[in-house]
Amino acid sequence: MGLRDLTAVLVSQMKNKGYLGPIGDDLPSLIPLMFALIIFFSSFYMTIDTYNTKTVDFENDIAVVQVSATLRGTGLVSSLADFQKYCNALNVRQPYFSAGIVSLDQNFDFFDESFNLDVLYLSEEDSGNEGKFKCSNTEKILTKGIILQSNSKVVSRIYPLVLEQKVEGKSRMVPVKLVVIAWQE
Amino acid sequence: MAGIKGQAAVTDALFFLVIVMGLVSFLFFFTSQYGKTVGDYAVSSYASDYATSALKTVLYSSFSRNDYDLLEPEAEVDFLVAALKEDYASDKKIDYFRMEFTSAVDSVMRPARNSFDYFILIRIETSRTASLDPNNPNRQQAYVFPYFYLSRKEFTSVYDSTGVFVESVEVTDKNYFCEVTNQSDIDKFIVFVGAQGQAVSPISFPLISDNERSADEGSVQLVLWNSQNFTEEEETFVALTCTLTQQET
Repeated sequence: MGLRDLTAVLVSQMKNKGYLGPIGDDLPSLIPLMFALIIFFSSFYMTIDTYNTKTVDFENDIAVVQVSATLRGTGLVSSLADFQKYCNALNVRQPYFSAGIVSLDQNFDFFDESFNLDVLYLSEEDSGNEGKFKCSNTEKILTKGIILQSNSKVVSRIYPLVLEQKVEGKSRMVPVKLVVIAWQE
Repeated sequence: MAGIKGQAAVTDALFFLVIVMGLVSFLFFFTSQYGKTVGDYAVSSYASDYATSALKTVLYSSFSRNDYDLLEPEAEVDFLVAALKEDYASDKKIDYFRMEFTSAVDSVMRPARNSFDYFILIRIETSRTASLDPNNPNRQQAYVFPYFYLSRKEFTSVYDSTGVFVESVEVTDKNYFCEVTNQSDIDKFIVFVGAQGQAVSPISFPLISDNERSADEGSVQLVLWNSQNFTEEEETFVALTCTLTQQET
């Protein structure tokens, strides 16, 4: 190699100072690129997750409104047969729901150890048409364990109603409340 | 030229980042807003449904005239509304059965008591002509209110010894009978608290007269709203001229 060739190599290297090759030269641009992609997919995942969660909430809300509107009827439940007729008209498969008529002063606490909605229903035993004012689309019982599960969704609504009760042949309009609880496991 | 190749790629990536930031902003906005309207509507719808059910329940309910339990065979049972009409017919006031009616309203509203404050009123139309004419100067006096019951929660902050930090918040249930005379004062109060749901039902009060059968026409109105933290000195509340009857902490 002559002096001229050596000079040419040195000049060429000086001109390409910092040049790492066609891929290496693009490496710095990968930092904002990756940053953008990570941010985008994170927020996209978060949006989908929020959308799904709220959609489930709405489904529960709609189911509770549908069930309660049907069971309330005109606001007057004249008999157990009347209530069961409204109950049979319901066609809700999901979410699970449990509804019943309870006396107005009967309180319940979701976080009570002994919480079990099944014990709260009124019963009609005197009319010869024995049964409970209960309507549900599942045999499952809502328990404290289900309520406390991290992914469970529970919605409840309470409405006042008038229940016609017969006492020695005379009818009495007794204020009661309709409790509707819907949940997804 | 080789020296500026990398800079062009970085600029492209930064432009890409700007576009992605725009998309991410849109996604965040969508996430925060999605379902908000539906959620608000669900609360409002529940309040309206509850108000309608509660009013029906109060108006359809039986009550015992001799203080027996309703389901006792010895109980002398009548409709609560019949007792109200009887009370009104005697002196155009609702005073004799006022506590029975209030107690029925309280018990029916109890399940929603933690969510809503409410008032219930009976409005009697004294002048049909005046009430229908928006330009009539006497329009606001076209009604009387023989019954006006209001129940609300008041929140009081309890500070620690330094007087700077709030240690706890005490909630007091306060019930009032009000003697409002002006419909516009009620309207202003409804706007102030932001009614979430309300129900109105017409009602007719027969009058005792020797010559002819007559009746005062009126309505029962139940209004629910989310608890508002206002004091008893609040102007729109003062206009209702309320007297505290019961208070529970």
